[in-house]
Amino acid sequence: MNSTNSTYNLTRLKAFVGDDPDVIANMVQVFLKSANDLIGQLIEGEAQHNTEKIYHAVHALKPSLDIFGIDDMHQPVRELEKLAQENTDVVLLEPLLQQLITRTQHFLKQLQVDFNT
Amino acid sequence: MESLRIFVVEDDAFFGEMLKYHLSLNQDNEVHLFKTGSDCIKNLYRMPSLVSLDYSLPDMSGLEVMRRIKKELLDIPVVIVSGQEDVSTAVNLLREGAYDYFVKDEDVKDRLWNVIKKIRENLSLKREIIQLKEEIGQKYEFRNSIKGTSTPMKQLFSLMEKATRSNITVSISGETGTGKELVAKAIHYNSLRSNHPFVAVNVSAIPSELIESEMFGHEKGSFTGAITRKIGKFELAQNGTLFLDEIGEMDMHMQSKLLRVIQERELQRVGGNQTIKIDIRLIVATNRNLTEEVQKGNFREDLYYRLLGLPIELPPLRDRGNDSIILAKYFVDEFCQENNIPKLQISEAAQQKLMQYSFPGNVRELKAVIELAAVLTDHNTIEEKHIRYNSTNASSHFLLEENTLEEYTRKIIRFYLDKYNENVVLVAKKLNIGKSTIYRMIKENRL
Repeated sequence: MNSTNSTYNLTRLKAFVGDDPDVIANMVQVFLKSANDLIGQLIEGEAQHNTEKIYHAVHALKPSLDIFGIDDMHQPVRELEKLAQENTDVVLLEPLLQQLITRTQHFLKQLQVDFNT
Repeated sequence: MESLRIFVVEDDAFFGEMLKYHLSLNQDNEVHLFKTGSDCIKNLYRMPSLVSLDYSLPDMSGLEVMRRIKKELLDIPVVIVSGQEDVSTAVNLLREGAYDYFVKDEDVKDRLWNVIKKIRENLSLKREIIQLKEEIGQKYEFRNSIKGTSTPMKQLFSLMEKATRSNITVSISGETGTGKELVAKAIHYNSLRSNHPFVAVNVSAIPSELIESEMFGHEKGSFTGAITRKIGKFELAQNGTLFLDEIGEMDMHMQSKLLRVIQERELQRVGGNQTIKIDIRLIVATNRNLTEEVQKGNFREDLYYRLLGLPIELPPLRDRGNDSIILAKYFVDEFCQENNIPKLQISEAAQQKLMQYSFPGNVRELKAVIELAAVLTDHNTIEEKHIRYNSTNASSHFLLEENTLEEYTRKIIRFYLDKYNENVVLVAKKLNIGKSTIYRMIKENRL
C-alpha cells in the first residue's frame, strides 16, 4: 500500500518481507510502536537538553525512515545525528529536531489511517 | 542444504523483526532475535552458525559483545549490522575479527544472503573435509591398509604402534615394492599429527639444482625464474609429517643443509632472511643400505644417526609366508570391486604357483600379477595358467642374494615353516629332510 500523496513508500519494506498484506500490516504495527517510543524520546531529550538521548533516538529512527522511503529526511536525519553525537547545544538542534518530529508524526498518522490502527 | 542457526541481535524492534522475518524466508535458517547483548551471550550454548550484531545496543557495545562471542566461539562469523556509517568504526570492527560490516539500509538483505551463502558453502566444505579425514584415517588403520599375519608382519605392526606413540624420527628400509610409503602414511594417520598434513617427497625424483628450493621454499626474485614466493615441503608439512623417500639418493650438499634444519628445527627460504620455526615428524625411507653408504663416504655419518631414530625394516614378500595368498585375495577383491565385476576365486594350483615365486618386485609386483590374472580369466576362478610373471630373473633373484649355503638353508626352512603354520613334521616331509634337523635349528636359534 503506497500513499497517494507520497508520504511514504513501502517498496523497500516489501523487498525485505514480501507482498503478503498480513505480514506488511504486522511489520507496520511493530514499527508504529517502536517509532512512537522514539518520538517520545526525542521530545524528552529536547525538553531535558539531553543530546545523548536525542542521538540514540535519531540513530535508531534513521534506518526505519529509509526503509519506509522517507527520502526527504535522509540528509536532515544524518545531520541531526552527527550534531547530537558531537554534543551540540540543543537550542541549535531544534530546527532539525522539529522538522524530524513533525515529518515523522505526519507519516505515522498516515500509516495509522492506511492500516486502520 | 546445510541448516543454519542465526542469531540477530538488534534493539530496534522493527528492524530486528524485519531481519528475522526476512532471514526466516529460507526454511533452512533457524533465526533467533535478541534485544540485548547479554541475552545473546547467555544463548551462545545453542551454537549459532552466524551472529548478525547491531553495533549500538542498550546494555553493551557491539564490540564488547563480539569480543565475548569470539572468546566463547572463536570460529563463529559475526556480521555487524549498524546504523553507524563511519568508515573508521567499520575498519576497527573488521580488525577486531568481524566477518563483515553492513550499514542498515535496503542493501543489507542482499549482503546478508551473500554471507549466509558463503557460510553454508564453508560449512559444507568443512563437513566434507572431516568426512574425508575419517575415511583416510580408516583407510590407513594398520589392519585395513597393511595386510598380513606372518611373524615378520606382526613384528612390523608392533614397531609401527610404538612409532605412533611418539614423535621419534622413523627410518624405513626395505626392497622396492614392500610398501614403505604405505607404512609411513599408516604411522602418520594413526599418530597425534593425523589432523595435519602428510607430505611425501621422492628425493630421487627432484633434480639436484631444484631440491633446496623444493624442500625449503624460496622468496620471489631469489633466482632467475623465481617469479613468486614458493612454500617448501618442510613448511607444507608444518605440524604434520614429512616423508622423505629414497633419502639415500640425496647429494652431500643437500645432506648438510638437511642436517642443519633437523638440528635447529628452523629454516630460511632460499633468498630469504626470515627464520621459520618448523614442527614436523620426519619419516625417511630407502632401499639402499645406508650403513654401507656411510662407509663408502656417500652419506654423512652425523645425518645417518640423526635420521636413524626408530628403524623399521620391511620384510620382502618372499619372507612373509602365507601373506602372499592373503594379499592376492585382497587384491582380487579390490580389483573386482573397482571394476564392478563378479567376485573371483583363486584356485589351489594358482595359489601354489604364487607361493613358489620369489616376487623380486614384492607386493607391487604381486598386485600387478593378480590384476593381470583377473583380466585374463574367463570364468569366476583364477587358474594357474592366468598367473604370469614378467620378471626375467624371477628364480635367479633369490640366488643373486649371494648368501651362504647355511643362510639359504635357513631361509628355505623358515619360508616353509611360515607357509605351513610352524608344522615341523609337514615341513620336514615337504623338504625331504629329517624333522630333527629342523628341531635342532630351532633349538640353536638359527631359524
